[in-house]
Amino acid sequence: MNDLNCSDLRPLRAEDYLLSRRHFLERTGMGLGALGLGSLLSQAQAAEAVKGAPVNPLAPHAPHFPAKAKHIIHIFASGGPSQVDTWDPKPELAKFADKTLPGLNGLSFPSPFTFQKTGQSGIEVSELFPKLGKFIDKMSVIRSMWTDIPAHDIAQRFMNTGALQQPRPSLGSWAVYGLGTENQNLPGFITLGGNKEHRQASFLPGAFEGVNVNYSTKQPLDEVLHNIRNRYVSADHQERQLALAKQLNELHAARLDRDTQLEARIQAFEMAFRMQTEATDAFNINKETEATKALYGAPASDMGSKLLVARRLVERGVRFVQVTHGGWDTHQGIEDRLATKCGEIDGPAAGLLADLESRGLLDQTLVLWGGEFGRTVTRDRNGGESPGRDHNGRGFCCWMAGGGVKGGYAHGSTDDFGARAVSDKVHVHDLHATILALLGFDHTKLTYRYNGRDFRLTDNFGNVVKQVIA
Amino acid sequence: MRPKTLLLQATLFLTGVSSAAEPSLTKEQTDFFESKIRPILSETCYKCHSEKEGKSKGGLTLDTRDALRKGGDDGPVIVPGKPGESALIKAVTYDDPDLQMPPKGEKLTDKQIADLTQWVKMGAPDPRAPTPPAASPGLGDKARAHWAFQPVKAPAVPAVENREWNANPIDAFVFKKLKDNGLEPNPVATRETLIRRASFDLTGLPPTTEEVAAFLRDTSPGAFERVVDRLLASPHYGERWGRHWLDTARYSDTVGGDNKKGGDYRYPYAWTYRDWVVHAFNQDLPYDQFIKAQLAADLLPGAPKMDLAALGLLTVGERFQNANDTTNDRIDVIGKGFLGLTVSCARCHDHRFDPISMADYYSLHGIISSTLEPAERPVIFTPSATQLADFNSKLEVLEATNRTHYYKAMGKVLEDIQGNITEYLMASRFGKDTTAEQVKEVNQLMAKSGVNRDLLRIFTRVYGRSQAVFGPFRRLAELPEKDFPAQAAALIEQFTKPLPERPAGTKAKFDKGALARKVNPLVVQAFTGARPQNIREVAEIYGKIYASLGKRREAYFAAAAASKNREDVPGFTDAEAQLIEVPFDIEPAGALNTNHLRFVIETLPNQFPGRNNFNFAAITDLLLTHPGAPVRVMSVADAATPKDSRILLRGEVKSPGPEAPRRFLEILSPDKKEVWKEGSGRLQLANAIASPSNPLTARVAVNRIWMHHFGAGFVPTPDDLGNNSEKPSHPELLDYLASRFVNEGWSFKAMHRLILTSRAWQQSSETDSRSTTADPANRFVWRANVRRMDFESVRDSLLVYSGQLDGTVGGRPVNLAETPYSRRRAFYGFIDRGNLPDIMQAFDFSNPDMPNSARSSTVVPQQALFFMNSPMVTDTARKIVERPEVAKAANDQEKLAAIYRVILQRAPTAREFTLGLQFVKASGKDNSIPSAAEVEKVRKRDEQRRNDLKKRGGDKAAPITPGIIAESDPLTPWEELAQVVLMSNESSYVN
Repeated sequence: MNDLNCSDLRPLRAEDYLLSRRHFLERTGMGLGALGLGSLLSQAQAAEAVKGAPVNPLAPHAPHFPAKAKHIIHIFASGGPSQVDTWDPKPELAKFADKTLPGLNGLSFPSPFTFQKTGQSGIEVSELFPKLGKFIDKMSVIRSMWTDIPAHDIAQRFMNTGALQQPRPSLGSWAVYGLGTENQNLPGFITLGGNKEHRQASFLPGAFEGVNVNYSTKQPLDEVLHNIRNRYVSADHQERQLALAKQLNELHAARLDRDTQLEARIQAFEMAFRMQTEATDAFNINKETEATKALYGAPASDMGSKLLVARRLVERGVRFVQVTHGGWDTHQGIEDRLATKCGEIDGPAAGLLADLESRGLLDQTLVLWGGEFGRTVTRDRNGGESPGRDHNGRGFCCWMAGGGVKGGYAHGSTDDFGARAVSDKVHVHDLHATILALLGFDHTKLTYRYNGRDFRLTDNFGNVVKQVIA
Repeated sequence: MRPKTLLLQATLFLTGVSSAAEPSLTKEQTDFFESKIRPILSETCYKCHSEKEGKSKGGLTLDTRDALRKGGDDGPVIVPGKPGESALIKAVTYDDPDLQMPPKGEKLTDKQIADLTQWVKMGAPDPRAPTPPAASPGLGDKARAHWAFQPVKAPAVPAVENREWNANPIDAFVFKKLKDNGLEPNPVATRETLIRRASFDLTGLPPTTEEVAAFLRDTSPGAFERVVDRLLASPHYGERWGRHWLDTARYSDTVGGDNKKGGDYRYPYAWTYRDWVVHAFNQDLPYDQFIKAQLAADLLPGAPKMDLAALGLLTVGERFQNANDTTNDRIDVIGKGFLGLTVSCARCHDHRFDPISMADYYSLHGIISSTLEPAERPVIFTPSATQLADFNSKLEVLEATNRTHYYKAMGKVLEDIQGNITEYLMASRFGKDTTAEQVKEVNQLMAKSGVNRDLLRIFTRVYGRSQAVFGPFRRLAELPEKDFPAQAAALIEQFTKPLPERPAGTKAKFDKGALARKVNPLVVQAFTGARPQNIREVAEIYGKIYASLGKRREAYFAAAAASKNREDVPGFTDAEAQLIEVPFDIEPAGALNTNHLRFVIETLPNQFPGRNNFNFAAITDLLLTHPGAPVRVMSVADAATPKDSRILLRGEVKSPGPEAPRRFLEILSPDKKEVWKEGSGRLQLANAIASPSNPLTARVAVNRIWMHHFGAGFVPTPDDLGNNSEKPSHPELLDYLASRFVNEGWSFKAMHRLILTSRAWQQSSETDSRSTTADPANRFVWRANVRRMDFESVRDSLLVYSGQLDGTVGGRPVNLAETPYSRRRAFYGFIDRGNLPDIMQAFDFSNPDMPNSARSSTVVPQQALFFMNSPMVTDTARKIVERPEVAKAANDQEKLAAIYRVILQRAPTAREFTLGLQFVKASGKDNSIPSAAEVEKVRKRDEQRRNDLKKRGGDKAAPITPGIIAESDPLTPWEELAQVVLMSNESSYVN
């Protein structure tokens, strides 16, 4: 909080450009020269603001420093995937099979899965990821993640909003607040499923809240996107309606010196009109070739279809897409259940990376996979005959690819058994700081003033993990 | 703030602790200091010996470890380990007439002296920082000097020559400020604008065409004042201004996201608080009484029972698993809501900017923690006998289903466990510390003996509670295998031998026969003479005991289900009942009302089969929708023994510090020493807040009133008038109004009248480039702001235009998210803080998780989609065209004008005539969607969805309530035109 209330030239905040241009100029002290300093507004926007054109909170703006990642696809593996069965091999566990592990309560539970050195980097990959493993040289695997409280709701909130308990803006909201979005016909932050808390704008303006689409290939789109289709007026009639509305609005605004918000509303109607086709189109995976669909396993695979939609959204300029993939809470029957869960994501995620790469999008799209915590390396007491693992916040893993992330790199480590992160530990706040850095932000400067305090995603914590940045 | 959000100061503090040279203290040492010594030092010594307070009599300060060790001008005051040689101990014992501390006869109690002596004897362990933490700037003199903490002094009304601007005192202040800044005010707005603005400002509804016509006709003096009086007398006034208050009060009909596991997610009675608020505004309840009722209606002498509903302010907030978070929410709403202070910032550290210490925070914490919610919510209204009977019969059906389910589920679980008790006992006998061999054994048992994993988990978790039945087994299971038969025989002998009556006066815990006395007689009987050779044979004895019950278990459940008795089940001995019930307590039907059953079910483990099949949601639905349900309130009451809270250092429960006596915020207390011992302190708190001399209360209130009339407050942050807020735009006017507000009896309506009849409020919203350049934000009020209508006004207006509005005041919540769409005002919508409907979010509805008196005003495409495509808007367009004045208009011009009058309360301009008529003419009849088949498909789908929702009863969802089902035909050209006018900016803004 070193920038708390102590600079007379504070960075701009969304509220500045959500209010009218007049408010905006007044609040920034009219120092146009100052606008560039730490400003979230692009030069073009600043110029626009001065000219009197409306300032759109979602218009794209430059981050603090140039960066490669322009979009994020967050595959949230909710439930807490087991690290020692996926990305953190621990052969030591086998030596203690069914014996009490030194220093730990409970019986060692070696992974039932084998690992193999893969790619040029030779990073060991679990047999559960035959397809994704082929991309290991594009990925940074972080093996030393840790979190504060290993309870699902709290840890999930923490992973997605950086706060344990209180309502705070989500990672995606911060990203769109910082960068705006590139396609004004679509929301900047879209989630496909998941908890509302994980997409909330909280005290950030509502425009930055994630728009959730409970996407399913089985459901008509107008049931998942409210009011997206008109059932009573044909498209050409509606276009005429909007043309007349615009004329009437201009008559109205003329008396009011083109009040910024009134103009923004005219634009919102235009965007809404375009959204009807654009959103309908973006969510229609039938427009893809058979080859592309096969890459993802769509439409048969639910995850495949969702990741394909995610790519279609990113391709259209959507800033942040979160796809929630639940079911990783494997207290028992881990052998079967992990095989299922990993099978659900292996092909689709590999397809996504391949597809992004072939379209030249991987460089600018950060793909993040991970859950809210890891699992014990000992047997869950209640697992019985088909054992599982309990919650563990002290060590877990995640991976990132694309968007300026180093490839073929494994970061940090857990102890000999995989129970606790020990070297190059990465706390959830550190991960958030790193993601913001990949997007071009100094996480300590991306702030929003609320309730008398400058808030940020990383609270007062977080260190960028520089090693994973290429 | 959570512990994680520590600011700099706290970080320093932590660093200080860790760098301290004090050899690591044990927990006992730290606890001793924190619970016994620190309070003595801070309460009695610091006032003369504190670096932080700047007092160091005799060169001695005691508020850091190093300073205490160093001592004063005469050297060290303690010799660790040697109380006899410590000057401090000498001083407090008053042994030496020349050295008596605390002075002036304020001698410590014997207990305190003993504690200090003991502490020095322990070596004076002192976990405090070696040097004082940097004092928060919020506690400094500069922060205390902030304008908002100074008393309100009514400034003189400035003399203004301009006659138009000196009749109303508001105008004199505003005009002077404009002149001082070289600005010219706008002319008065048109009469159409004034009545529209006044109607939305005071009732949130547009004026009807008749009201506009009547006002335009009335050219006599005082015509506008009469409009204002009419609007203030309208029952819809309370809904509009009540809603503003509910934004502050973070009102919701649900508990929120964090506490939905099994608990009652919905508040079936939150609406009684909402209705109380409406009533209070409509009655113009003086604001000081409004405050007192919401904090302490239960403690106010002579308050009507209905006022208990006001206490919902405290209880309708979000509920958290951690009780301190819930308390924090309540402190937050009091701090921001009434005082415009972010008191909750002082939860983990002294406030950074305002003079609010952690001690202040925990003073309020003690008050809130000493306030409880009664188990049975008080009834304030009983409906007619017929309605009540109907409700009761419906409730009884649901409750009977639940009871049947309860006995069935319990019976099945107990049968499964007790029928196989030998194996369950064997499988659960290791408790928690399981070795590899034990785990294997349990797994094998499960595999071959039909022990179910879920049931075993339940059994393991709860059987420890049933000492009377399973105590002997547990004790025997602890015996070593080697010498089992002999040791077991001795133990069995001990609890089966007949015992003489306990001699009178013997304490039970010294009674060797305690176990025997507690063990179930039937168990005693079965063990008498038994000589088990191993633990399995013990378990088998239990097998026999349960086998001997025969059909008694079924009979017991049948009797319990039929029993009207609240205490026990007739026809069974206590011993039998105990045996049948373990490891649960089976309640007789007479004791199983829904509240109790819910409690019972919520305490069952998650794995309990059938745990989620109770229809509690349907019961809540009934409470939320049935007119015969007795109306209850979410009141509170003082705890039997109110207590001060201890300061939680860094906000952490694990680090309790000294107690903070219950009292008011120090900066706002005229008598800094006053503490509140009587009751929880809520009544005292209410009086202190609602006091005319409180510098914040009235300022906060008038700042909000001004904000809702002008679009921006004097201070732009209505919930924070502290050091972090911007300076008020018109400090003198703010104080003038605050003082007038109090002097006129805290009347909101008087304030509205004063404001609406001011020339300042009546200005037009038009702009001129000179003023725009000089004061672009209109801080000095040279024009009226153009304001976007809020969610409620947008929705309510549609119902007014279509003639569908149901103006009933008060009542149970309605569904705003689903079709059929309700005809009630949006104010009565069910508000689910855990899942606000998309439409409410899109229109910036206030976030009900925390106090938010100012709404944001964003413009997002979802709003546009609502106007373009929603069934409600298209339906409204249809119904506008059906209105008689539109349908029967003589010609197209008249028709167009009538549509404009309905929606915009004015006639179209010449240009608007041309554009509108052109549009209609060009529209033709080619609007071919949707096809009849599609209409039918959509209709069916909507119906299906409604039925599904009804069936599900939804544990969280708003109940489906009556309303309108939109028509599905394509729009006609005139309907399309009406929709365009609804879409237009003017219809969504108040000029």
